[in-house]
Amino acid sequence: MELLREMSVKLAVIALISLGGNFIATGTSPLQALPGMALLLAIVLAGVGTGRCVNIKAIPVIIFISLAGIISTASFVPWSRFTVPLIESVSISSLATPVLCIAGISTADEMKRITSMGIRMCVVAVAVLSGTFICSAVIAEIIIRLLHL
Amino acid sequence: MSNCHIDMKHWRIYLTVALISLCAEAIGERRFSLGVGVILLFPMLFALLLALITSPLLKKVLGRDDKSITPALTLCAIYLLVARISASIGPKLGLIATLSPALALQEVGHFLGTVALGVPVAVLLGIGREAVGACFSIAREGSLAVIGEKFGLTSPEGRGVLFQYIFGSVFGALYYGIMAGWVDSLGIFSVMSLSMASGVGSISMMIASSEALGLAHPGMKEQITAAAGMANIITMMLGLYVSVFISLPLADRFHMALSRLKGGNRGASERDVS
Repeated sequence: MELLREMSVKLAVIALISLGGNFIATGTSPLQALPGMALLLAIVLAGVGTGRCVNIKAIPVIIFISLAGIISTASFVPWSRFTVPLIESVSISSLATPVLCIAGISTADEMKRITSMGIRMCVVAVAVLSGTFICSAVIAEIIIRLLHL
Repeated sequence: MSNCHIDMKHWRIYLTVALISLCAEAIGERRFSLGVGVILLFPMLFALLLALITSPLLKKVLGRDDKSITPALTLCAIYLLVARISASIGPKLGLIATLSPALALQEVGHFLGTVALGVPVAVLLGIGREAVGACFSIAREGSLAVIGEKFGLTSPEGRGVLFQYIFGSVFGALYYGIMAGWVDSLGIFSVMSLSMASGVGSISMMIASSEALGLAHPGMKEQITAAAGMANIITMMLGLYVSVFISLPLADRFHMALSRLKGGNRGASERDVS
């Protein structure tokens, strides 16, 4: 319960910021998007709760939240008719913006360590990121074309 | 009643995040033509850039106490984002089933690209064992643990993985957002391939990349998110095992072979970055 109480304020703050961002970006009023946001909060709590109950270290909480999210809107469940439009009123981008904002705030200090390791390591880092993406795309493209997906 | 007390002592950081996020949303989407391809910038990238640019100012406003809650705050924000992404997967389970052969092969294969592009570049630039740590994965938390256990984080390999981790945390989403939009604008790959490629195992990189694709193909937004989100979930679940058993040994041997080829002697593989 202690964990839940600690999380609840932070979740609420993020939810409010996202509702605001959602309004600016898509014009959906915060009141209209509120039920969708409430559902998302419920999914998070369900996932965190399940994760706590199952308590297997090898499985991150995010996996449980994902499962809860998929089940809440899967086409085979009877309630998806109601949940899908609710959730689509909250844009993904408006939830991702605070994530990257906080990431920026907390990693700004690390910029010094990056410059201290030198430009060569930065080139390698970019090569690693590009290689992963491109190779992944090539494999997917080959399979899609071979199997006519 | 003390249980009902709402803890707002960290209001400074909450307000900062709110201000930056809302400003970023207000800036909206911007397109730049590059001659070859197009660069797309969008709110989440502006939020990251604004946070990085204003950091000297933020340092004065935010105390250590405020900064100490950023990991917990990040987690809460990521939880909500994951809930939203997964809710996009639900209605598209049919699409996921259709794409499953590609998703499965991609999961095992995409580390080849990580190693095949990263290691030669590192060896060409004269980087030593750091390359092994930097080039076996995109270095999320799990990779730190793998290298930490095998070599220790103070070893050259450890320095490599830490660098990749930090670089990815600061610039990963920015780079993926820009690169995915640019690659897509070249018209070589189908949108679905690029969507699945976005799921590299980091939520922020995946979301930046799929947002760029979604902006370029507005009609396919939900499919893009579903495919990218699913690929990302699979990578988060299996990526660690693939990296331990396949990509780390591969990076290790490939680096040794290439350094020997380049240096012509065994000393080359022991050369340090500094």
